[in-house]
Formats: sequence, C-alpha cells, structure tokens
Amino acid sequence: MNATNQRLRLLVLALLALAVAACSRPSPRLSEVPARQAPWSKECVDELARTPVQQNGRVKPLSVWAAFTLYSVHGRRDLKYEYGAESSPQKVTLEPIEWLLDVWCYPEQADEYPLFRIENVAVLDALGIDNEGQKQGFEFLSFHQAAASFEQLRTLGNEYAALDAGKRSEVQEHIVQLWRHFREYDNLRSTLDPLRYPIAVPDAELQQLFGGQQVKLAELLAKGPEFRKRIAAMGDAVVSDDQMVVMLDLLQRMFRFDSGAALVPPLSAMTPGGVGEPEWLYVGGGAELVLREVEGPTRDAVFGLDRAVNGADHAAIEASLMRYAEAVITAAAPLPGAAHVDLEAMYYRKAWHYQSIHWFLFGFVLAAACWMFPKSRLLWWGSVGVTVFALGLLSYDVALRCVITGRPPIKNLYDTFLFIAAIAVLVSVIAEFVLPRRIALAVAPVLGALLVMFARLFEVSKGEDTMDPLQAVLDSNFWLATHVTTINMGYAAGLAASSFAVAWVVNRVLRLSDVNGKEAKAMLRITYGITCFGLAFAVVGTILGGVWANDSWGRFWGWDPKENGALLICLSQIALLHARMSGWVRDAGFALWSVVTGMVVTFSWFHVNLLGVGLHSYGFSSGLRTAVWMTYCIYGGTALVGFIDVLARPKPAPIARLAEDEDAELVPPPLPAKS
Amino acid sequence: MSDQSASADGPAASDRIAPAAQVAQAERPAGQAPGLGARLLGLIGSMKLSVVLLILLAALTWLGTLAQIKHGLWQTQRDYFESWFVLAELPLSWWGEPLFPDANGEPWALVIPLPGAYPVMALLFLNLLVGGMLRMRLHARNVGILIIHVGIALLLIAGFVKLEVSYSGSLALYETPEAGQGVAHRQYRASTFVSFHDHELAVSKPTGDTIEERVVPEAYLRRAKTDRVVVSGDGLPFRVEVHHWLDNCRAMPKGPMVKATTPVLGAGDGPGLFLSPVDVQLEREHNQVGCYVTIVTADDQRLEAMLVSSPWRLPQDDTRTPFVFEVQGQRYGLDLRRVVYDMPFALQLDQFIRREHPGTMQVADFRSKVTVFEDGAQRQAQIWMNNPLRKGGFALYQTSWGPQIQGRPAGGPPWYSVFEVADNPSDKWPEYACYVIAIGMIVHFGAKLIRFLMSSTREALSA
Repeated sequence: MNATNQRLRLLVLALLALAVAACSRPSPRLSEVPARQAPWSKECVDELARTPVQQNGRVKPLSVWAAFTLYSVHGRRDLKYEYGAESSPQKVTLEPIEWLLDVWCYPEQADEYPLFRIENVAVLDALGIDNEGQKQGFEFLSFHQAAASFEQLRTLGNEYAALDAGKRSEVQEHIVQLWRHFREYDNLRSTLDPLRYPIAVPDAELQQLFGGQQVKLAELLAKGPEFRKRIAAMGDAVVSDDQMVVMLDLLQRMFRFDSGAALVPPLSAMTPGGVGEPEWLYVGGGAELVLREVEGPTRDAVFGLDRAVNGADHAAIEASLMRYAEAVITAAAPLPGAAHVDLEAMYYRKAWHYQSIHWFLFGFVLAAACWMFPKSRLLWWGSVGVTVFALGLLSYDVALRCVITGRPPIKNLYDTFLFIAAIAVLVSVIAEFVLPRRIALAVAPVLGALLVMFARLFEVSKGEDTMDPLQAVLDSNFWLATHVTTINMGYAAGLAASSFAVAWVVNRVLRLSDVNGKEAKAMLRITYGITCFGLAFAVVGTILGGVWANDSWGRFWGWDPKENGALLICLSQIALLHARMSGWVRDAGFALWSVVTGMVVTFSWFHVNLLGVGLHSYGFSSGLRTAVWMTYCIYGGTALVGFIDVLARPKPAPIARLAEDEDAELVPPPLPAKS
Repeated sequence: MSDQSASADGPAASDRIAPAAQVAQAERPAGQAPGLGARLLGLIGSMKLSVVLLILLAALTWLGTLAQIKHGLWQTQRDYFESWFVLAELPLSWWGEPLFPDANGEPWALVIPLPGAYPVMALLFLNLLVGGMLRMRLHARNVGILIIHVGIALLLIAGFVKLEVSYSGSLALYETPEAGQGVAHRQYRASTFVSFHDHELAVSKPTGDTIEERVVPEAYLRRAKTDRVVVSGDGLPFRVEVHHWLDNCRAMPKGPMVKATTPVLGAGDGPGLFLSPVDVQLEREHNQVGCYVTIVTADDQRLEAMLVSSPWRLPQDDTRTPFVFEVQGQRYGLDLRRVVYDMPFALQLDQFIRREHPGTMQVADFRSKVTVFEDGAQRQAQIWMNNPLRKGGFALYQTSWGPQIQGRPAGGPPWYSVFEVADNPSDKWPEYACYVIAIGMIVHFGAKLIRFLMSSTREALSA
C-alpha cells in the first residue's frame, strides 16, 4: 500500500470519469449522386431557422420543429451521409433545418437519406426487406426503402400498435415505432403538397387562361381574379359539369389540407371568445386567402413557398425561401404567442446547457489537478471558478426557458434534468465552501456534466418539443413554482447526497485515503448536511403535492405511483436520520444507506413514470429504461461492494505514509490559510 | 454494518438528541429496575421502533406501487394501505423485462408477508406521540423537531379522518339550455351525487308526494355471485331474491349467434335480453355492476328482472328508470345504482367552456359556470381545474366533460360537465400541517447548520 500506487489509482479514477467514448460513426452512402450539392447558404439557413411556425399548439421557430422531428425519426441531432467515389467520398452533415429544407425543396433526394434507425435486422426480415444480417452498429433505412414495403409496414404497424404496450416484443415495439416515424416523416414531407401537384383543368376557357390542361395551385392563384370571374360566369353550369365539380372539389381539399405545420400567420390576433392565441393557417388555408385577394405577407408567404418547391435552380430556391421567411416574420411580429420566437431560435443555436458540459468537465480536470497539487490555492479557486461559471451558463439556460415559455423552470421531465443538475451543483459547491476538502469540488462538476448529458440524451431519444403547451391539469404557475420546484430540489439534494456517499464508499474500497481520515469524515458530513437540506424540501414538496392534488383531483393522497415515490424518498431519509440518531447506524451504515437512497431517488424521479400506471405517467419514454437500470446498477453495485468491504475489513488499518517519500504529499494537506 | 472505530466526529454528541428511552433511563434512580409500564412506554416511544416502522411503511409503499401494475389502484389501496396485514408481492424484473414469466407474461413474484399500512401508521402515530412529543426532552435544540413532529401528527390525523369520515363521488350535469328548450330526462340541476365505487340496491315506494326508499349496500349483495341473496323488509309484501351478480356487465340482446351464460329474459316476442359479463376493469369506477332479481310475492307469484348500474361519469338522468312492478295495487321500484349522497344545496350548470391549444385537440382550459341554490338564495360561481368550489363542507372539483368531441356539439345532446364531490372535514388540514412542518424544518435544520458552521468539528475537518 504505498503512495505511488495511490497516485495511480487517483489517475485511473480521474481518467475513468473523464472517459468520453469518442465513437466515430461511419456515414451511410447514398447510392446516387444527390441533386443538391451546393450547401445551403448560411444566410438562408439562419433566416429560415428563426421563421415562426405554429405546430402542436404553439408558435415556434421552424428550426425547432425540424430539430424535434429529426430527433424523433432519426434518433440523432444531425444527419450524415456520403456520396461519390468510394475512395474519396464527399461527406455531408446536415443540421435539422437544412434537412427540413431538403425534404421540402428536394424531396427525391431527401427520400434517399439514411433516416430510420434499425437496431435489429429482424425488423427488416419482418418487413421483407433484403439485408445482410445483423451487423455491429445500426443500419438506416431511407424513406424510399421503407415506402417500398409500405403495405407490410402499415399492416404490422397497426396490428402491433393495437397490442398492450407492455406486451409487445422488442421487434414488435420496433415496428410500431418505425411505422410512427414513417408517418411523422410523411407528415413533414407533405406539408407543401398542395403547391406541388397540379390539378386537371377541364374547362376550355380556363385551359386557355392557364395555358394548359393542368395547373398548379400557385399559377391558379396568380390568375385568381380571372379564375373567379370565369367560375362566376359559368354559374349553374359548374354543377352540371362533372369535371368542373371534380376540379373545384380538389381545390377545396387543397385549401383544407392540414399536413405538417401551420406556416401562414392569421390575418388578425382575434380568437373566438377573445382568449388564447389565434390559429395559424396551413399552406392550403393561406392559398385560399390569396384567392380571396388577400395581399401582403400572406401572398408573399404562399408564393415564396411555391417558388421554393417548384424552383428552377438552387439560388432561386434560396431566394424564394427567404421571401417566405421575411413575409412570415413580418406578419407574425404583432401576434400573441410569437413574441419569443427569435429568442427561442437563439436559445437553441447557443445551447448554453451544452456549453456548460465542457466547462463542467474542465472544472473537474482542475479539481483533479487540485488533488495532485494540493498546495495550490490558485487551482482550487480556478476549479471553483470554472464550475461556478458552468453553473452560471446552465442557470442562464434554465432562465431563458422560463422566459420563452412564460412558466416556472419545470414543466416536464426534460426540464427536471437541467434544474436538478443546477441545484445539485449549487448544493455541492456550497458544501465545498463549508468543508473545503476538494471533495465537493470534484463531485460538483461531475454531477453537473453527467446530468446535462443525460438531459441531452433524453431530449433526442424522446424527440418531443420540450416547450410544448401543458395539459390543463398542470396549467398552474403557482403550483408549478411551489410544489414542482421544491420536490425537485429534494430530488437534486438526494442525488447530490448519494454521490458523496458513493465517493465515501469508493474511497473506502480503494483505500484512497484513511477511512477515519478527515477526507472520509468530511464526505460523511457533507452527505449528512445535504440529506437534511434535501429532506426539508422533499417533505414540504411532497405535502405541497398533496395539497395541489386536493385542489385539482379532490383528494390529498391517492397512493399514486409518483406520490409514493416522493414519499419513499422522505421515508428513507427520515428513517436514516433516526437510525443515525439512535446509534443504529454509524459511518459505514450511514454511507451505504445514503447510496441506497440514491436508488430511491432514481425510482421516484423517473422510474415511476415508466411503470405506465397512475395519474403522473405523462413523462413516459421507453428509451429512459436503460438509463434507469444503469443508474440502479451503479448505485446497487456500489452499495454491494461497499457492504462486502465493510464485512471483510471492518477496521481497515490507516494508510502507511512514507515520510521521506515526496509522494506522501498525495494525501492532501489542508488548504493553505488565506493570506 | 456499523463502523466501530472511535472517531472524533461520528454522529457527534452535540447533534444527537437523546431518545426517549435513554432519557427515561437516565432519570431512574440507580439500582431500581424499571416497571413494565415504563418499559412498554419506552419501547413504544423508542427511536428504533420509529426506524423499523418507517422502513415497513417504505416497503409497503414501494411494493404497493409495483402492485398497481397488475392489480390496479383500487385493489392495491385496499390490500396494502387500508389493511391490517398483506401478503405483499415483489414482481421480479430486470432491465424492465419480467423474470420467470408465467403464461400471461406476468413476472414471478416473491411473496413477503407484511403488516398493512393501517397498524403501521397507527403505531407510528403512537410512537411519534410518545417518543417524539410527550417524552422528548424540552430543550431549545429540540424545539424545531417538536414542531415538525406536531405537523406530522396533524398530517396523520388528517389522513385518518379522511379515511374514516370522508366520502366522495361524482356529479355530472348537462348545460342548461335556454328557457323552454330543456329536455325532460336530462339533469341540469342536482342536489345529490353518486359514489365512484360503491353500489346499492334501492327499493322505492311512491307514497303521494314523496318516495320511500330502502337501500341494501353492495357488500350484502355480493354473495349473489354464486348464491341467491334474499332481501325482505317490514311492510313489504314481497321478497327479492338477488342472483347472478356480475361485477361488470352490459345488457345485450340475445341474438341467434350469441351464447349467454346468464339467464335470458323477455324472450316472448323478441330475441330477449341478458346481462353479458365484461372483463372487470382495474379502475373499479369503470365497472357497471349488474344482477338478476326474482320478486316473490306473498302468494308465491314470481317476477324475473335484471338490473344494471349506470355507466361511469355519464350524467345521472333524474328519471333514471328503476324496474317498476305492482304488488297488491301498490307500485314499487327496484334500482341497482351507484350509492347516492345528498348535498345541502343544489347545483346547476349554466355554461361549460372549453378551449384548446390553437390548432390542436389538446385542451388548454375547461371550466363550468354554475349557480348554487341554497335556502331560496342563489349565487353564481365558476369551477375549473385546480380551482374547486368549497361550500357547506363539500368541495366540488372539475374533473371531466362530455361528449368528448371537438367544437361545440351541434344538434345532438349538449355538453355535460363532470364534477368530483367530496365531503372531507380534514380538507385543509394537510395544508396547515405543511406550514407547521416547513417552519419546524427551517428552525431545526437552520439552527443545526449555524451551529455546525461555528463548531470545532468543522474547523477540525477543514483545517
């Protein structure tokens, strides 16, 4: 047990914590050379990204709709492909908004993109798609390939969707998801269909007017007044002309077409009843207004989109898209609900929480360095400073979300990750100031980085806009601000406390420092302090939840899984504090119990949402299951190893210090006094 | 699992509160054995008992959460949380997949006998009262804890009162139309509501202006699943034999291809009707119970009928027709219904308002404008999500509405609004308990933190 060995252990630990698996993924190849090879210009992408659109009940930037659709169907944040000669391929990476523009303006090309992720070749077998057997990694199916097996996909997709979610096999679940993604993509892809496909023109005079037997919607609109005049002149003759009835019926259907999102702002902010936000129009609805001779931005938007869909060359397409974007941005500016679109586009472009990950990791590196060079006050302040800066970025991110949605920080499961990360880091940093032993210094940034990474994973795997409007029952800023915030502070503190307990167990098992040394004692002290802090919030939060439930559902307590989860945290922590007070548990017992409490927090925080029962299952996501069980394994494994260690070595000897060895310094001495 | 090494810190003596048992011991003159009463009191108030009880309650809560997946909330609540004893089940799963599944895909479950939440919470309350309040040493340091314990006690009492005294149910009303536009059988105003889960058999006898009702609770009738349960009463010239009780059923015409396992009635000039059993729902309120009855008069005349309770959350029409028959020139009615409760006031739905998030089917807000009639006076009120109407000891909550379609119903029946009605004397107590506990926590943990910040322990650990 010499000191050199210790340094090695420290190093390994630090490296393990830092190891970010850099998995390089090969880009799938396109079989043909794509039509669009010139990249979208930055100007065009930036302008389109901040163009408002109304989707899923709220006005949001086009880029946000594109991003969450891509996350959902593709399971990644960007889309990669390559083409050209195999020896020197052209590699392309598309941002979500670029992908959306391809889907709209170059659909034949976009349909060939490697889009739907297939994790199990049995899915391909079931759909009758040729494949080369299970490979390492994922395969991607293009829309074109999936559409070739459309009948099979639809039949199986609907059949399996009718089964109970819990009873589906892995392959069945996969097919259900694939069918859902297929429709989601198709929905996005057909947004502009009314502008894309021509209508047959039966009337000779109209044929003359439009210069052919077919007309596209925009050409018809361009000659709107003449068209209306002709229809009016025909009078009753329209009804007796079957072909004319078919044409007008088709036109009507185009006007009512509601695939994708509502792209055209309404003419006024008026709503029925005078409350809420006005409803936007789909592109067909916009076209109808144009036919009624509405001028201005509505006309510009519709014609801009038309030229983008039917454009001759890339430059013309970009110019038309810009025309559409400009028109919509102008028209949306005075509308309620569209005030924060720019801010939201900026929020996603900057991704402050993503940036915070890097700073947290840097803060951890500095903390690790601080362990190596314990005498340096500069390093200590450096690490604290960097971690606090990262916390600032994260808090700014959360604050922006509040401004954009006009809500308290937590509205859904995704928000809890960011909020809990911020609180856990804050609590840990405070702990470092109370007991400056460089323990909390290292734990805080690791917690922050891990939780924000989880948030990112969750965001993509769930693939749902995290700012979408709330269910009626949650629509209460008062309760969101009180109950939801306090209970999540309880979760955050519970996680932080268990992290310090994990640190204690790791320290004991690996003999990084004396079991009864100051480091170990400080870890326990911090665990204890944060447990008390967290318990206060967990108890108050749990009861406030009951009070809210009493006001919305008419009962204070209903043994609902989420309520039970919160109660479990309280019970576990209260029992722990009483066991400690009565002398039933001491250091080791306290630490191991605290690790187990971490599992309880995990159960309550998101596992209960996976159970699929109860009133709180609005956060369901099957992708979360792996994360939950991994967390259980880490906590459970730590507790088990710690327990065995305590049984095997009830009284570990103090670590030998080699006085003459300079490495002895590795057991960090106290921080030098402030000068 | 305890680390015996001597430590400078440990659970430092300074922040430990002597448990009641130790206090009792300290006060006893040396050499004298404690009496049985004192020892019992010491045990009941001991902190170790608290730990055991808290762990038991946690185990019940955890297993009771998992049990809901298979057994539903209602059943689990009765088995785990309102019982004296339970054979709790731990369904084994790994990575979300069931372990050793049976034919239905249900995982193999480990059976763990546990006391139910009822005795655990009762003992916890005693333990709290004795150890955490009565026998706790009065000391400035304990004030916060005492306040917290008072709050928890209040919370437990509120729960007990709710469980024992409170009852709740549902009330659905149609939107009142313009004057003269009303439809006779629709309920626009009511001063009663119906239970969620419990049913009763009502025998009614119209006597002039009033109706005399006798009710038999469901608990008495459930034996009719396999047996014939006889219901009779003083002054009733007949007895009712209840049989073929069904926990969830629908009345169905007996077609040629339909195989009925229950009696088919009225087959004379049509296909006949029968009660067709339906899978019992885990959410118990969704079930419609039903039964067959044979009415036997004094002169041994027999009349067969079948009864079925009303669907969940649909407006209870005030002319919900009982099965009507005549014995000795007197008309009687027989009805199997959700238990009816009275309110000291009447409620009328004036208008139901609903708003969706723009361009979606997702409801952003739904609320009811109502008029409350009481003692000849009337007043207007609004009930919406998170904003119940509290009146006369009752609280009315907006829970649902129908028909669940988009836009205003045209032509067909108008909108109806569904309220939950609860009579709960302890309605507001948890809220007060919450304030008390919050204050106690701030006092206790705040003081502890300050003491620690100024303590020598901290200096020793940071130095």
